[in-house]
Amino acid sequence: MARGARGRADAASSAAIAALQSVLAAENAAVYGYGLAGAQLSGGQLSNARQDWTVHQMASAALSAMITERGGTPGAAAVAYRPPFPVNGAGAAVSLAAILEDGVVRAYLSLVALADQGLRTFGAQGMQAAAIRAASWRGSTTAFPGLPAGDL
Amino acid sequence: MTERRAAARAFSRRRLLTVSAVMLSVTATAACGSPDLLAPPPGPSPSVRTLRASITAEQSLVDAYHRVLSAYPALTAMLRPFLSQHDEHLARLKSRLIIPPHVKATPLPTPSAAAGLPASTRAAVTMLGEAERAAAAAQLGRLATATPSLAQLLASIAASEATHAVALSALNPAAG
Repeated sequence: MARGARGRADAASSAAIAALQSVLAAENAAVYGYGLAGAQLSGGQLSNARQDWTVHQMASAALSAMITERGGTPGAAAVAYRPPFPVNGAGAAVSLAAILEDGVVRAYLSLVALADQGLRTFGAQGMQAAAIRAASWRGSTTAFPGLPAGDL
Repeated sequence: MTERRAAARAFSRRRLLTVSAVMLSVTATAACGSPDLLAPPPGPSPSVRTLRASITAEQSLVDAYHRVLSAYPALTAMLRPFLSQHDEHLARLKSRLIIPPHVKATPLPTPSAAAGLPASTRAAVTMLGEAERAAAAAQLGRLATATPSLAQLLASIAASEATHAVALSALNPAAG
């Protein structure tokens, strides 16, 4: 009985670490991507990109700490990430920023399905923050941020 | 004749054995604490109650938008995209509410009485922005009692509402 309970706890912990790793990967990709985008932006847009880059850097550090606390090893950021399209102008940079934030929203969504209530709330808050940034870059809102189209 | 009598005896013995087996099975089932077949069906689960609360909250937001648009039709172009997304939220939530045949469908709770209508378009947009922010926060409070998939839907709707709140704040200076 105790072994069964421990098994369930281990499985829940593994699921939490795996979900946190996917969020960390999305945050690291965003950090890299905002570097690419920022190189093409100026003025207020550059200022916004810098601000969002800082937010993702801090989130990456916080997530690494959360993974370590749970006994995991945070995944290392890749040396480089391939953007989904060439980022050779301000328009492409703004589109990239919105896409990066969409990816972060989707990653946080995985935390919301966990049994851990604290992580559920943390995930939902992360979704809101990233969805607000995505809408700001895109200039429009969406009905179901983060949910795959097939689920709708 | 003898064969028929033997067959009848065999039949009634088989029948007795069958009845005994059924009785044993029922007794064993009762002893194991299985659900009482005569008991009334259980009430809605916490997740269903959460879903119903979310539907009521969403309906309340939709009603608020309609009230504002009735009073200030000039805001239609600005507010229509948000209202359309709330209509999508409401439809999606309602599609998850499946009422089993044995359950008497109780009406969904009515949203609380409509607040007074703001005196200007600016105040109306501010009121909607605050309602969006409050709705997004309330969804977070419902996550604990939702199934994983419902929790994801509620979190997504909350994220959408959070973006509405920010967008309405940004648009408000344009509303005189």
